[in-house]
Amino acid sequence: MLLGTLVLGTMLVTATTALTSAAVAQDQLVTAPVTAYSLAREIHSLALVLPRDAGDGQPAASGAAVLLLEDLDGASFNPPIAADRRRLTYDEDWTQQVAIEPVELGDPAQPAADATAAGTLLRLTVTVLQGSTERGSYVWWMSP
Amino acid sequence: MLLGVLLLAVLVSTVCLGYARHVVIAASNAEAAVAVQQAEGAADSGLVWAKQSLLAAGDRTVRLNVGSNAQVAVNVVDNGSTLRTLTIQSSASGVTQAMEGSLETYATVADELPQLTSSARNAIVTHPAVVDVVGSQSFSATTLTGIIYLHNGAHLTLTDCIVAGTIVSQPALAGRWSPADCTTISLGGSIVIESDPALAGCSIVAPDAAVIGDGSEALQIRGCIVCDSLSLTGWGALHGQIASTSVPTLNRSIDLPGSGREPRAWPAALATGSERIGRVSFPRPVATPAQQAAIRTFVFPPDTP
Repeated sequence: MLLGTLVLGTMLVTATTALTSAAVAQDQLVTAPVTAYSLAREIHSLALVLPRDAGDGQPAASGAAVLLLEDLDGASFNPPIAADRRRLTYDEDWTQQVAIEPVELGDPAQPAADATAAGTLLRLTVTVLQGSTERGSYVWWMSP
Repeated sequence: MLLGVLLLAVLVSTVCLGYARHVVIAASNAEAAVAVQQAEGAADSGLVWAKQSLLAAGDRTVRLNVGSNAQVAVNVVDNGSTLRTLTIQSSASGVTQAMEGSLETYATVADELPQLTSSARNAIVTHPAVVDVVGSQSFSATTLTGIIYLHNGAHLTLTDCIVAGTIVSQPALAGRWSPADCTTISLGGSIVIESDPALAGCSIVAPDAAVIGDGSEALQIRGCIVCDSLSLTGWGALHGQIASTSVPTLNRSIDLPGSGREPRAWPAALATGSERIGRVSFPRPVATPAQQAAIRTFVFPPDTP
């Protein structure tokens, strides 16, 4: 009886630990990469439709304050925002960090001096954090 | 009792292993799903690159990294005067995307002003009717015919004139100039500028020139204007396109018929060097009969535990 209880107890503890580990692994391996890329795409979709006009040069503090493409440069959104500038409150733990930089068309690794020249691309980089852990950094090129 | 415990142990172990397998498969699927979307994003970036390269008259073939873990290869091939074939191949984390499409383009102006083609330059040099303008020269109540040729640094003033030809500057012909070579064209009264048959569709080709109206000008300019700056405060109509280094200043009484609608072709005498994309099409690939037969007879490999 005692031996059976001991085996059963050990087994239940082991099973609970294994299932918890598997659940954590699922969150790390399955949910996190998909969520990270989805949040980055929300910023890309928003950036595509924003005017390229010059503003005050300051990054937006919230989604509602994003009116120009320039407002995204240097912005950090926590909770993250959707392409329609809504706050995604159910992903409160996540952060979108945005950088926009003009780069040379011939070598997009090099920064460009004139952001409005035809031989220039805009490089949009969205880094997505979960808590303080970086879950991914994604790049798109856009027309100036 | 012991048998019951063992049975329970087997049951719990099965549940744990099943869930762990689910996690492994789901992780693999998630990695592939993200890679597919990143490859799509890289292809999207490749299309943007092709669009900008056409505008900047840049390279037509390139292979570049989009961020740290995605690559894209772009190739644009001429397939007619305004038709291009675009091939994009992108990859991310081992997943590849490929697409081939057609681009319909039209000539436009980007960083550089349009330039005279070599045949247009020859036509100017050999033109039988050239009116040379040297220094400051004024014409009033007259009709000028042929090529009105502004030498370096010339100042042309037209008042109540008809130009049955084209105004061309020496810098336009040479393709280069210094600040001292720049010309000016002043307009007043009733002004009609058409175009010479040798430069059909071109009214003013002077990329160095400041074109200024004195406020009294009543304009009908039939062809396109290429100049450094354009400031017209009178009234009338500019029927052709305008290409200027600085943003033109036009009185709202000056009409721009045809402007702002669909793209208009530039005159054959001018080369813009830049193109914009009017239409993009990516035809759906159709499997060949052999591919269709191979799909029908494909046998999936057995699932390996």
